[in-house]
Amino acid sequence: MDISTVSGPQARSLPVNRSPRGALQGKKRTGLSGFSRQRIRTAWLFLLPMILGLACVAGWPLLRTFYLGFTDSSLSNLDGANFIGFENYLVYDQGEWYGILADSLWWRAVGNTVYITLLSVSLETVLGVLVALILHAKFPGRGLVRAAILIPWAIPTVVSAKMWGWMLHDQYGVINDLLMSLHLISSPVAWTVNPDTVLGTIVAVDVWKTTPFMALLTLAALQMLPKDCYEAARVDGIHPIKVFFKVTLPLIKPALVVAVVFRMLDALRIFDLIYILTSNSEDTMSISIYARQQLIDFQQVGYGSAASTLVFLLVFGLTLGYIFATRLKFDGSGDH
Amino acid sequence: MKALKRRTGQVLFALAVLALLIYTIFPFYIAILTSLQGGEGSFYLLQDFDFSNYVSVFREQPFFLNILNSALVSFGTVAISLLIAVTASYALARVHFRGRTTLLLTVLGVSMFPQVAVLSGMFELVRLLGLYNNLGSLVLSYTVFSLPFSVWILTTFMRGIPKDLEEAAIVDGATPWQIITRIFMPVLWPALVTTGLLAFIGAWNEFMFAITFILSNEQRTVPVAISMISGGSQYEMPWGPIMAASVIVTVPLILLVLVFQRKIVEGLTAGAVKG
Amino acid sequence: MSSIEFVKLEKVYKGLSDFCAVKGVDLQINEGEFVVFVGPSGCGKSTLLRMIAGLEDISGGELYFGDRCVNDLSPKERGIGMVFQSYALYPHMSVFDNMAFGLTLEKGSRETIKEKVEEVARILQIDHLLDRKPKALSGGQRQRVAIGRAIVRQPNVFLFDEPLSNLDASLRVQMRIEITKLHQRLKTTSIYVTHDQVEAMTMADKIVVLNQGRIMQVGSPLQIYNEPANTFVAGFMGSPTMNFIDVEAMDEQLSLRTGQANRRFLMPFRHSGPATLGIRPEHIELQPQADAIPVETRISVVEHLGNETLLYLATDLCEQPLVVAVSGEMAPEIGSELTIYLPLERSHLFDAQGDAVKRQGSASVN
Ligand SMILES: Nc1ncnc2c1ncn2[C@@H]1O[C@H](COP(=O)(O)OP(=O)(O)OP(=O)(O)O)[C@@H](O)[C@H]1O
Ligand SMILES: [Mg+2]
Repeated sequence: MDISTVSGPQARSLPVNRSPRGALQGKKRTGLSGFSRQRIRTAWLFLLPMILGLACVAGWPLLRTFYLGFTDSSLSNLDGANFIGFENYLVYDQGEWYGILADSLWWRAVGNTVYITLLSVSLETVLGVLVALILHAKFPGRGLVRAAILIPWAIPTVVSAKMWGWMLHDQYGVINDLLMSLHLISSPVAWTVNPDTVLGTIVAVDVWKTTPFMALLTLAALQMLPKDCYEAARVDGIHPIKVFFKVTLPLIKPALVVAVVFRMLDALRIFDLIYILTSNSEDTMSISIYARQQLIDFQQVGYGSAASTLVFLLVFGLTLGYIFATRLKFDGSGDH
Repeated sequence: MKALKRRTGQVLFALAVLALLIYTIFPFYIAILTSLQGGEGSFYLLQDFDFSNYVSVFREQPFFLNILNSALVSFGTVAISLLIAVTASYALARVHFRGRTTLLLTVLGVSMFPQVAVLSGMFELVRLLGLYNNLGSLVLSYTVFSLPFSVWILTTFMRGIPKDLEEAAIVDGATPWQIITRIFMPVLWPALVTTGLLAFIGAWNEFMFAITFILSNEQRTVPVAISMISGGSQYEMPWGPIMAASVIVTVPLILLVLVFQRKIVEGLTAGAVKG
Repeated sequence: MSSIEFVKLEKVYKGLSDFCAVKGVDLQINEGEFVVFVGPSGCGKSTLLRMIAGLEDISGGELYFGDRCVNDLSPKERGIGMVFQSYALYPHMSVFDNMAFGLTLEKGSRETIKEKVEEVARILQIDHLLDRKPKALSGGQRQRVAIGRAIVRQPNVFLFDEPLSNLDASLRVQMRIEITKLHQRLKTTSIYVTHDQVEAMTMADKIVVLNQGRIMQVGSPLQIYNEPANTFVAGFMGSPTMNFIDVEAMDEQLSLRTGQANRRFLMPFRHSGPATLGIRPEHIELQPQADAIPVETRISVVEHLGNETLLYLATDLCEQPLVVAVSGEMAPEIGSELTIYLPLERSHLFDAQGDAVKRQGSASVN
């Protein structure tokens, strides 16, 4: 049989002997076929290792850290700990405040971390954009230069810290030697010991190591820019510097903002560089160093965990604040 | 006049490139120089080829073992996190299910964890599993920290595969697992290389977990081993051997970067720019 | 091979606002038939095809292959072969492996697979390409491989989604003929989506015209051409498109709205009320005819296509110019006057809803 059109009422009614067909009509369909349901089930199965892994090895330890922060446990006595509420954070005892929030060293660490982060991230953003602009131009050997600037990013922080530690050495370091022969300083400076220079030194080394990351992300953004804007600007005879600020910068800003978030996250949890370069010196203590010192060196797991919790909150808070302030959209809903 | 202006521009540009190169390479130059010199003092020119520092690195500590440990941990991390990330990112990129975006954001959130925030909990876990002073503890913790960005990058790449290709495979009767192993992984191998490289670099360079979970010299990874090279006192740092060790661990990374420069950049940008 | 039946098939895309892409489609496809879905872009052709394939969930209604409801079956269980517009060849596999992929998943023996693939390759004349990678093939060759991949598994049903639209015009004609020949040889039930009416007319046993998720008409190519069920089908099929003129029908008589409003013509339809008269450009005559409406016109545009010439004629019958196809030798002058004759027995009448009015007997001019 042939149904010529569905517009007439006669076309819609099927012959009586077909009555079993359409029997499902009454049942509510979920809108998903067995095949799709199977597919979604498989998807969850595929996600299971990741979810389990993240939950057990990241989520659970995080929760434990939160919990341990409210106990007086120590490294030698992890199990027999007592719940002590907020005492690790702040407690008033016999006319004195105790706890992390009353510890001037903690606040110093916070100050150092924020100082390093702000200075380092802003310096490397500016430098990174400059480097990206250089690498965006066409010149012979560009690939090699690009690979060369990647190297500082790729090597272990321990290595870069050691290399700079050596170069900044007060007696035998190259830096002092160079600066003295250029008559920029009159006597050797103990860069990594002198409280006046040490933070700046750390920022300088950090900038050296992480500018490539910024530069490459910026470069990628530059390479995705439409060419016609520039041609239009060139035809109009606008000064290149003006073009950069009026055209280029606004266009690469979204990519830059993302790169800054990544870098900020990294800088806020800075550990290796300071640990190697200046060890546990109070002048340079970062929040991660502070927390780990309490936790492992002083074996005060409870107190250290409380500090770790604060680190987590601080990093998360500052990052979310930044994401919010720049209205960055991190939605993963993009589709194929 | 115009030609002169252009000439000046070119010269200035060349100087800028040169300055950039010196800025990035100079520390390596000094490191190599120091590692090859027996005596002390900072010279700017290489005067002799003295490999005694290199010999001493291997003699004073089990540095060969340390390198082996680092390689073991890094390859282990790469293998496990790629395996988990490939299936997970297939599900996240290719299947429509409720909570997909939430899950993706959660994964991204985990990559924001400061290591120190999970340190005490992780310490407990490592001891519970009997992995304290065992390389397993490092594989475990590195995998978890490399997993989020691996998933993130691979999800981005998997979204780029045309829908038709997967549907052709479905019509051919391929199961999701077969689609991943027979179609997606071969098509995506450059992305896998990229992701693996980033995970490798991360694991090779990690310091905080390595110094916390490992006690004995024989189990240490390279970054910790380097940080532990010391002389009699703080004022007698054996800079020669330290630089020699630094050069040794840096060489493989430099080779990786030179060979895979393009892939690394692709991976970094896929993870960040499209985020 | 199997027959296919659609019972009130529906597709709703869930989203911020639900979108109904297929609305209650009933259709019967016989075993071995070559069915072509045509319709304007976005009418739901691909969606319908993908629902048959099992790549898109069915939101309502049932789909039967033979006597079996396949709603919940996977594409593989349904036994379909599909050819995609983008070919979708596996880029890392050789032509042989592309074609053998489905068979290897079924774990057939290597010899049988080789035999089958080579036979299909011979039929499609790609046996010399078996070792190449897809990127070393031309568009036409890729398309053959894609077809070959669908054939080797001997599916019950063949599905094609605009398979030729990425090819250039001459290759398209060639491939069109080959697909037809292939169908005559294999006799597999086939469903073919296209927006090219020439493909639809030349390849189909049965054409299904779709619009906005609904079936407008089902019929053989000549039925669709000669007896369009409504103004949509009449206007969609045929190139250049059918001319439509608003008329007033009174039982068996017809009068024009303008100009010669008082003249009555006897028509081969029985209908009363406002209606639309449709006539194809190739049916309009330049010589006086019995049973034809004479219309005074002025030539506004002339398009020479070589084998024929299209005249766009301004009239007071309707806003749009009337289009007439005349022999290619004619060289009419723009602006000149021309009297044309609309033969009523070759015309179509549609009621106010746009549905066709059934033709009866022959007609004569009053
Ligand atoms: N995933 C989807 N979500 C929401 N709407 C969709 C989706 N896929 C298709 N549609 C809508 O369904 C309708 C039918 O789409 P379909 O692809 O079937 O059209 P088509 O007839 O194949 O058109 P074309 O000739 O352009 O290929 C379109 O209006 C389209 O916008
Ligand atoms: Mg389509």
